[in-house]
Amino acid sequence: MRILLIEDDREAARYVAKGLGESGFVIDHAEDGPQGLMMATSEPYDVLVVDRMLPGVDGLSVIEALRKNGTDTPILILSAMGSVEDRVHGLRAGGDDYLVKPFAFSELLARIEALTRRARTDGVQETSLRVADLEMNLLSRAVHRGGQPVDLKPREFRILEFLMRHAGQVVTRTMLLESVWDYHFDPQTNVVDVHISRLRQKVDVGFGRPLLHTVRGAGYRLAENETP
Amino acid sequence: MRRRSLIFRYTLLHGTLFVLVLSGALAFLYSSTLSAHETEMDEQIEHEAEDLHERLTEVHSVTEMAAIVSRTTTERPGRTTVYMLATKTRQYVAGNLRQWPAGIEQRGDLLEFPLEGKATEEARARGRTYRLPTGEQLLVARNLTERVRFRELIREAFAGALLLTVLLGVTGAYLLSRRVSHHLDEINQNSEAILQGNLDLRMPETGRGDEFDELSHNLNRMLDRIGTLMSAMREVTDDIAHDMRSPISRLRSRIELALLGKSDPDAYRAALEGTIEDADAILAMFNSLLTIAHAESGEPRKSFEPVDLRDLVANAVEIYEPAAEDAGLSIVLEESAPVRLSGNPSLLGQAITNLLDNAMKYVPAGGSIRCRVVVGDDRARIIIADDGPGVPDAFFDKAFDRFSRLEASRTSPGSGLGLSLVRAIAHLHEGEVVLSSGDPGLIVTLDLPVHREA
Repeated sequence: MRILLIEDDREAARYVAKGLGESGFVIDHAEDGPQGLMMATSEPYDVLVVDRMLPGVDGLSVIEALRKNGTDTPILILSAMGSVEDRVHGLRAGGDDYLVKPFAFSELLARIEALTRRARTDGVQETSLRVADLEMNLLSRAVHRGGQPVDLKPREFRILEFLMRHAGQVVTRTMLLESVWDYHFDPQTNVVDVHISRLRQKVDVGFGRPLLHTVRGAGYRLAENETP
Repeated sequence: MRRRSLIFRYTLLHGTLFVLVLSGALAFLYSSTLSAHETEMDEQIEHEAEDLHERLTEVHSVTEMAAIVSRTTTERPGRTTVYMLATKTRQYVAGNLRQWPAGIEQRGDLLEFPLEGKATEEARARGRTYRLPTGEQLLVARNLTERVRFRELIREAFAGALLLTVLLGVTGAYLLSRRVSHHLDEINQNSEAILQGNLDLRMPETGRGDEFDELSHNLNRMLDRIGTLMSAMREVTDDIAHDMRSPISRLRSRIELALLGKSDPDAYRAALEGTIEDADAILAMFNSLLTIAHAESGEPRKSFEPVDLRDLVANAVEIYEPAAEDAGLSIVLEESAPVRLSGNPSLLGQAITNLLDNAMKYVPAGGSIRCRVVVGDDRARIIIADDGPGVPDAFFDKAFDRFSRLEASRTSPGSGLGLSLVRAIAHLHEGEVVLSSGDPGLIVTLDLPVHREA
């Protein structure tokens, strides 16, 4: 997996590159907009991580130029500007995800993994999802584990769907809040944890091997094995 | 000093113009009065001369004529009229003029000549001469002394009036400009002193209610407002500095303790994880402060969109419900009407979750949190009522200050920014958030205006 990081802050770039490198990614680093634009158009990358504030050409312009150019590589925007309006601007310019600085590295990693997965499954219209013996029918909205029906509330269904679409990957609380509830802020109470434990009650309890794992300090992972 | 010269120049210009106009008016009045007076005098002389001439033509002997002239002369003693009846060769016959005057000239309708050969105007006379049918000559004229006296009188009166006006004007202008300068000086001196750092100083207010008083009053109000804003700002920065110190010192002591303990990788890892939690809490506080500032700036108004309040509350209740249940609390959305208004859904959602967070924090197990959306009178109210211990009335206003927390909750997690953010979001939507006592418990009302187009 190759990632291009376009970031002018060297300290931040070092932090991101080191972490991603340790997680098995190959990182290229561009220090400004024009250089990033050139590298992104001349080399194949799996994900682009673009800082919004760049000297020369700003991040959003780089993204717009790439999209006009026909580049459809998934793009994650990093920005210190975190209001909903800023986020909307970023996504409208052609970004696929938006992460506000400062962020936890686990959050960045989870989002990059989600983006690589999205690239692979894009365009495929799925009618059912499957993780080990857990099945979800997206049309009838029925869920079965080991052949037995699992009765879920609508919101639980959406949480499970999101987890199954990102099976094997870490899903953070923030990602769940954003995609399931459209909340772009963290409530103080650990509301997500409680929802997950409810879901776990229904999906895992009584079925021998658990599928819904908690990843300490990061989030959750739905997978057959506890460690990838 | 430019200002002084401005007032002086202005007064001088006005004064000069005034004196010029007044002089013009007086000059016109002077000349028209004089000419009216002269015309009247001429008419009198003419009338008198005609009258005498007619009487003389009615008699035929010189003796009779002389008698008439003498009588007329004596009948009007003290008058300034001169009479002379003379022979064909201008020899004296009767009257109060002995010598036929030389140098008679025509002036207007009448003749003018010097009396007793003197050249001054006072010694001149104005009148008529007649040649009688019998050959004698008659002269009737009026001494011009009266005219000269009258002219002098008017001249003196007008000069006096002009002088008085100029004097009054100059004095008034001087007093006015001194007063204006005095007030401006005071204001300037006080401004200078305030600039020098005497921030409590204010402009003098006399209470007379004039323009300067109004100016001082407005300047003082402005200074008061700036002062209030400045002290509020200072309070916020003080609070931030003060309240950020404790989580940062907690983080510091955690690191220090880890270093003091035995060098065990697991202990270090635990300490580092704790440090990240501390840092996250600090970042969360900064995020809240930034969101408050963002909401207070009014910036998000630009991207307001239609929002259904009931959906927002239902969403929040739904997300909190399992957590509340775990804490032994019931959280319900009571019957509510759907209501759309123009707003920022993310910030409104955050306001609602902040209120629910608070309720979860303060209501003990077994309690309930009831949410409701009420619509009416172009307003929508989100009402969140609990049956917890409530909040002392005295705290109702203070609760919205940044970092303000109940003494009892000092030890539980939380930044004291939740309600400040709710208030900032309410104000952003031109609404208000109010605390009231539920007896028992607390009622929080988020009161928002519903604009028709939304």
